[in-house]
Amino acid sequence: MSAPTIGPVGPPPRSIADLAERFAGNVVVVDVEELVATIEAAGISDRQAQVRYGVPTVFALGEAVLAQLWARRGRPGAHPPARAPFARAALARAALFLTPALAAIASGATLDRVGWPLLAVTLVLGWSGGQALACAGSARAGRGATGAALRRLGLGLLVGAAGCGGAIALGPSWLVGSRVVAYAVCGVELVAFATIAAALVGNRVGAVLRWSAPVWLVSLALLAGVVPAWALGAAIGLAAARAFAPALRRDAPGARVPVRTPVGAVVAYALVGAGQAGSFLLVWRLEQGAAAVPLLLAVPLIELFVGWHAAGAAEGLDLYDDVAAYRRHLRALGVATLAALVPPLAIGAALVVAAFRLPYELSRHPDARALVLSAAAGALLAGAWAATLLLATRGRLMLAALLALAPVAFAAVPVAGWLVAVPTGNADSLIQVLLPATVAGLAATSVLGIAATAHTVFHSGSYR
Amino acid sequence: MRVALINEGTYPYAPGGVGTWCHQLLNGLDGHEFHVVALTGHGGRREPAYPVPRSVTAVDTYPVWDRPVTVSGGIARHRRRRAASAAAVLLCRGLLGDDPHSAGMFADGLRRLTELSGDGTHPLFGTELPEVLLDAWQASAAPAAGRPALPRLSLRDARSAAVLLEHAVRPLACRTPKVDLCHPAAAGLPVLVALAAKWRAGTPYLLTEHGVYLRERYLEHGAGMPLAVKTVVLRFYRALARLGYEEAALVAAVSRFNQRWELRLGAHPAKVVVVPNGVEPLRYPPLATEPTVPTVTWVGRIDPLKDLHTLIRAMRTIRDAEPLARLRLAGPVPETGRDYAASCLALIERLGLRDAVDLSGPVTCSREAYADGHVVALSSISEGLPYTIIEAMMCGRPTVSTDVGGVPEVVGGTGLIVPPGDPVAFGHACLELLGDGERRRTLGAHGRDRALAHFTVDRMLAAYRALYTDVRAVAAA
Repeated sequence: MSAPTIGPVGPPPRSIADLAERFAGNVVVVDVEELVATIEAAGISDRQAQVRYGVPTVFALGEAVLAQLWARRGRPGAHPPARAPFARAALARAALFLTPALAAIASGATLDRVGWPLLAVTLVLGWSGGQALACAGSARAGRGATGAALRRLGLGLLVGAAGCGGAIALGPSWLVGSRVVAYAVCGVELVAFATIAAALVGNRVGAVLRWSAPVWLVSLALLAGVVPAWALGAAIGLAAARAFAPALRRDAPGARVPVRTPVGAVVAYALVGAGQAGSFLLVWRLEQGAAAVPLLLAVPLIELFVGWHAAGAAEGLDLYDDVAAYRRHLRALGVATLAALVPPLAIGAALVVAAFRLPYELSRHPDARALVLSAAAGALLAGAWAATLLLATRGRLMLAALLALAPVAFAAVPVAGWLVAVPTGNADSLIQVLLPATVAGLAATSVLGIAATAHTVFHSGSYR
Repeated sequence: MRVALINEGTYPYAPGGVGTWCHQLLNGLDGHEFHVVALTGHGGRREPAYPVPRSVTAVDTYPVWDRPVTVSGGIARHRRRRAASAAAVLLCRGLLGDDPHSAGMFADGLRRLTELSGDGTHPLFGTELPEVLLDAWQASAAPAAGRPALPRLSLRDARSAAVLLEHAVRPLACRTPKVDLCHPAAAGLPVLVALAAKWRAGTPYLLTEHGVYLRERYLEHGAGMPLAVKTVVLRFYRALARLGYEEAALVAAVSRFNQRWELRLGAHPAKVVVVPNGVEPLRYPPLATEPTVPTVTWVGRIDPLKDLHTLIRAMRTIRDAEPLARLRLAGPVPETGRDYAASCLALIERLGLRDAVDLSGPVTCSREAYADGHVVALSSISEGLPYTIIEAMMCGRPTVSTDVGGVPEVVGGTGLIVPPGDPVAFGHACLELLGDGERRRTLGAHGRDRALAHFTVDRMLAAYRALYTDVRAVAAA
């Protein structure tokens, strides 16, 4: 707060109209007492009110000035602000999330030298840990303690890296692959997830994305085979350095208020991350590549969808001064939100039908059905993720966690059945069973997601 | 006599004028037993800034912004929500109106919330307060006699205002032990504790105001929040101040300036007594010598209401005429004043005054700081009756201060007074005194005589001793 003034330093106002003119451009006062407080703080006392303005007291002067101010003003705040832009921020987040994915695609040859179980464990750890630590850090950063939040995030990264390092050092070689490469790959993988979490906690997505440009360039160069793989690690390290830079700063003393960690939310986000990583691995392992295309395309669309929904809900708060009208707005927003969740389900269902009704020539191709089913899995998983993130945005965290874990849970059933029925079967026969079952599980998850979203978006309590 | 002394954000944790006043009262009123209620933002361990004397039986710290205390059990919570919502309707409708009927509704709403919070739970938590507030707003939004239509209150505004209101009424749940009277030290949240004690147990209260609480909220909430939210918050504090004056057995104003505001806000003239602050003459004997370098001293809490920006800008004017002049700023930076202290440092840098201004932090005895200066400055935009000026006068130091609050009543003709927010006038006044040793000595001597005559701690304590007796007599009558 600064001292209220009555305009630029100059000759004092000589009349009430002059005084009203000087106050007109300043703070809008709510009543005469506020105006009097401001007049007094500007140096006008009862004595000056009498001598200079011919009124007995400052209170009388305030009433005279206020009458003139109110006569010339309309109803303030009558024009609600326009909807806050969301697309740019959503696309920036999506680009940031896609950075590690691109790096993983580019460094496929290096990843092949590491045992896939180790990669899978690191992915689940990084994905769920990153989300959990981002949630905990955001609570702290929300109180202004961004530096402390990032330091804790860094500590979490070190703990995760130590765990992975221990697993690599002690694990059998068929599980780990080349140990030297495994240390580097797992370390960089965890750093990449931590970078995303740090960018979100520090609210520096744009800056970290700019510093991630070398990752994109090196990834493309790596795909073209013109740079060595270690350059990618260096580029990711550079982005991480930018994301964690605020950790070196001291927080403002006012920010050193004890902050309780929202344990429930942190656990829920850890489960959401674990579920997303698990379902991604499931789809990825069943048919490499085909499912990835719709998923990668879906990331920016999901971010735009969730950003649009959040902006629509926030806009309603500014737009309406009537609860009934606001609820009508929320109903319309809910209908549009649900409608946006239907296309992934419809596309997935259409692809499933197509997979079992392929033209004769294609149906004889050994991989054709698996390819189409994988694409269906990708589309359905994208829809499920959209519903998951929407539920998380609306604060239904446990519901979001259950939805994220559902595809893995659905997949566990046929695996168990297969293990019982064909105890000596090979992996190919498992995939033959598992792929259609996974797609069916994802379809069920999508339907559940739409139902959960419907329950959430039409419930006004979700918008508190 | 057993007294509950209730303050907000001051004693015993934050040094400053109100803290010093509490400290004097607790140490000086023999034969009284005190229970201190300290309303704070957040809980947690903190070090007291004052030694707590033996007359204090307990210091009860009551955080207003911590986690809510709620009713357990689904059915009980539902019943409670309905009852609290009904009270909230009265509260919101009452605070938005200007007539006596609205004041009655506001009081009734608070009274019902007090009943509901008898178990220590926070009364408005869990209610549909934004919706209630919107309904009340729409009922009162139309232009009325003497005022235009209320500004637009969006749902977002209503939610923000509801959060502030919900926390603001939490002190109603604070229970004082059985005492003979309550003594809130401000006409804001401390009054809620006193009102609750009055409504629950019939305990009367004496209300003391240092800075006028409502006036300081007006200055504090200038442009920092949306207009509609600001309107709700300030209407709440206005309605609360009015109710606080009305229900008080007696009101002790530290200056006639405060008395004007209290009467303006509806306090009955027969209830309001002026009791100026005082200092101990033995602790502030006259200063015999002056420093060699021309120095202006400021002592206080670093806070926006002290308007140090004006003082720092005035220093630029002083340095232009007197290149060796220095400014010593002595005082603590409270948690809420960190940003402001940073802005002061930035201004010092910008004006090229790094070598001229000394931010020396808190001092063990303010007399040491006055001894380091030729002139004592006070540049505030709002004051009650500032201890800095009384102490400086007692030490025989001349003062330059702004024409705010009770400052002219303290200074009389023994110092220079300039309009607030005018660095040029402030700088010229300081230069006038820095350049005239004879005038400094004359004003200093007159200042000490005036302080000895009107502003001693013994006079203040005697007045409060009498007021405590009067409050019980008024309550008994």
